[in-house]
Amino acid sequence: MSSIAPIDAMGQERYGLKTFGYTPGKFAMWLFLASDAMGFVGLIGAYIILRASYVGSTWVPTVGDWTEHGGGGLPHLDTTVTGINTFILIVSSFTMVRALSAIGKGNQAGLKLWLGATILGGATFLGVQVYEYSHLMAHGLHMQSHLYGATFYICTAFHGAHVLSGVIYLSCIWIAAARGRYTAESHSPVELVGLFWHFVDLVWIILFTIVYLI
Amino acid sequence: MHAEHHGSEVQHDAAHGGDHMRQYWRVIISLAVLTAVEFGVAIPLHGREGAILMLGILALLGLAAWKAALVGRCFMHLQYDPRLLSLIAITPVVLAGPLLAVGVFDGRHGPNF
Repeated sequence: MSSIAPIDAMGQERYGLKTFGYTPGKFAMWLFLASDAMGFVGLIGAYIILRASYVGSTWVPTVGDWTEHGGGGLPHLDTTVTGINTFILIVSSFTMVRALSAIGKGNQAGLKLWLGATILGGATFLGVQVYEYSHLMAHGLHMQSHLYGATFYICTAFHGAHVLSGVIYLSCIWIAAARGRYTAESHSPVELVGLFWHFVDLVWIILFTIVYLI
Repeated sequence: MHAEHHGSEVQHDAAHGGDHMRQYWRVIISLAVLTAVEFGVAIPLHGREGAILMLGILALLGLAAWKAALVGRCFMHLQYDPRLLSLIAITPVVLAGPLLAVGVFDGRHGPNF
């Protein structure tokens, strides 16, 4: 049987809400996010260190048919399309907080609507990333071409895998929401998926600046 | 039967009248403006070298850190949560600093892979 009961005063005490101000689930999610961030630190750090070691020499390789576009090797990545994609991801964080706010007021329709918008934002981001990859690969930028290609694909694909995981995670929460599983008093899973989604957004903000703008 | 926990969101929602919408709007507008400023800094940097490039890179990193802090504090509710969660959140950043400093200064000897 899977019935849902709002946590009562005794439960709050038992699960630490009154003592610590957060649930074990939230604490565990933050520990997970910190350990996950270490993985990103390693990858982004490797990118920065390699990039810095190429100061004064060619970081962007002269491979593929990009040379047709001015003869200077690969052009800078398309920051306009990715900038719009970045904004889509940021907006999806906004729709996520609206979903949480909606269920905080007991608005189940609002929860489903804003969760759906968040899923759509994540899926759009992934679609644009796939388009960008196919475009770059068609013009000769592969993982094995150069450290530039390897670090670019590893960093962005590792993040993309997180976006995909987030979309799947959000979809599971949406299905549970559609079944009426969450109430104003009991919606911890919505808060936890929100934390994961904002983390994905936050990492992209850093990654976008380092990989695309610098 | 299992009891589901509800997080501190419910508690501070109640404490703050259940509506953070104005703050969320402020944050999303700030993020949009900061992203536009990033483009404004990044585009003129193309092809630059030396001190201007370094200043531009520092400005871009500062803007990215500002945006990330907005997401962490407001969207992830770190400003309302106990300080321990903020300490957990900041730990990877603190560890990343020395790692990057050592790696970058070592790597400045040139690409020798």
